[in-house]
Amino acid sequence: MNEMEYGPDELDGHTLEELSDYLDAGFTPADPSIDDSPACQMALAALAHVKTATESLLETEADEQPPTSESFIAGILEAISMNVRAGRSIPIAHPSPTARITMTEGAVRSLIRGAGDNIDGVLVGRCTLEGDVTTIGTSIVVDLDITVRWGENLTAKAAEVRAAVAAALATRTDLVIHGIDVTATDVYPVQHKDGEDTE
Amino acid sequence: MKKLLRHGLRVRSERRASLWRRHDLRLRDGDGIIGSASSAALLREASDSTLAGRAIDGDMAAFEVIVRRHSGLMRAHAIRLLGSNSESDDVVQEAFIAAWQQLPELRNPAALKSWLMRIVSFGCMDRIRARRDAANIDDHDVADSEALTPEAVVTAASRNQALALVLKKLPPPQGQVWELKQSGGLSYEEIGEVLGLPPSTVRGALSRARKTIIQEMEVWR
Amino acid sequence: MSFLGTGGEDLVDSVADLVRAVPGVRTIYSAEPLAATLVGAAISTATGVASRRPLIIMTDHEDATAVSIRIGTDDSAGVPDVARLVYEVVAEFLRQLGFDPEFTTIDVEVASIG
Repeated sequence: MNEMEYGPDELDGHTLEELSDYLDAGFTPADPSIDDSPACQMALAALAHVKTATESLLETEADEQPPTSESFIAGILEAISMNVRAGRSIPIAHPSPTARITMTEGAVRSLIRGAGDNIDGVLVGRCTLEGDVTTIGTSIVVDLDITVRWGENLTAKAAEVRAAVAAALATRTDLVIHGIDVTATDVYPVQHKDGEDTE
Repeated sequence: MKKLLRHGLRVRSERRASLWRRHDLRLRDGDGIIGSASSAALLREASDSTLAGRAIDGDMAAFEVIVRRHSGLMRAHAIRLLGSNSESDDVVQEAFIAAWQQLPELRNPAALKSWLMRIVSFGCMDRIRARRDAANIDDHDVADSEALTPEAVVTAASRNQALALVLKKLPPPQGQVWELKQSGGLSYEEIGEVLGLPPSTVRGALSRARKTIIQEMEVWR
Repeated sequence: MSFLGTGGEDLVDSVADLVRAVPGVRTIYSAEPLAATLVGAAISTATGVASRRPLIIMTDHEDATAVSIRIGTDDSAGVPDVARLVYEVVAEFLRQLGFDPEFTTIDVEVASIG
């Protein structure tokens, strides 16, 4: 059996550990002493092979399992369901001094998300309310980002979203909306492959 | 080949005071239903970044997609570390619940998957420590050397089988160190902390494991 | 005199029924913080008994009463109008029962909009 050696003598002064870190870092910042060394390149190839083999083995083991059960998922969702990310308390006016009426920032965000999602080919990402929502009558700016199905006109879709969000907030809340900023990115229909994040 | 194309196009509204307050616009959803079948499909296909962002804002539907997408890998990783699947489901459930709480602190939403794997890693090691404390015995599995001969590796029908055998053969703590570093996403220091080993020992174990695996996999090829 | 738990359950239930009947109210939530609710959920899984925390917290301190209600609205009306109506309905109900309005604080929080 061909025993390959991987000490610094064989790897032009580098250790296998350094090469492994270099691989994990995506070969950046570029190191010519590694890039130009045939021995290092061979070792890197072997390391890369092992890395893909490791990832592939875990993925196979994941696929070979029984699928995640619905009760497993339901258990998680039930446990987190009470924490609805309330955010700040937005006051609602009432003349009585013993009334404390509010809606949560989280509720308003879900309203905005729903309005934006309802536009065909649009998925809302994050949204924030800028300004002091805790004081009635303060001008608020809504900032949201959306992803748009590939092929659609980004400007047109962003305008549709802006209009839908404006209408939802105007008809359902008393918030004073100063403006709505929409940041749009477009994506192919399918963005992920088996949990791999292609961003 | 699936490709992701990004345009960082920022479409800004004009900031005009009181513009939207009384504007008579109709919602596109007409019958008042927020969301639609097409948006559910878009959600299922959304990137981890988008899903994480929505989950941070409180969207449980987005978090459910995250759970469905990543639970398989997380469970496989937990089973590897725990040696069985009796506790692995519990650990993964707890990991998701912790993830929901800590998501707002995730600085790079695109790194969601590796972050989730780290939470599982720590959860598993907590369990292993608890087992050890309870039983007061050394819990390391000793590889059964009879079934795991060099010939077995060479003749393994697939690369997956070959690697699985090689990993099983690794003497402790190399196997755990390898799993925690490669799949678990832990740093040397963190591995040292959870295993109760100095970082130098961790580095040494990882280095030996790496050499063994490379050599055995090259032989298989 | 405390309305939590025993003795006050009828009153809490009555208020809850009243709130649910207000047009625009989709649901009533627990008013407990997350940590307490998680423990409650874990216990309920183990014993199989639904251990819901009180939907409406009413505490009576000396002569003052504080009521805390957390709701989700549906899409039928504006959120502020629904929330204000909930307040008024509960305030009137308690006034008729003899609670002094000056010393009865009512919190209404809209946690979700449907």
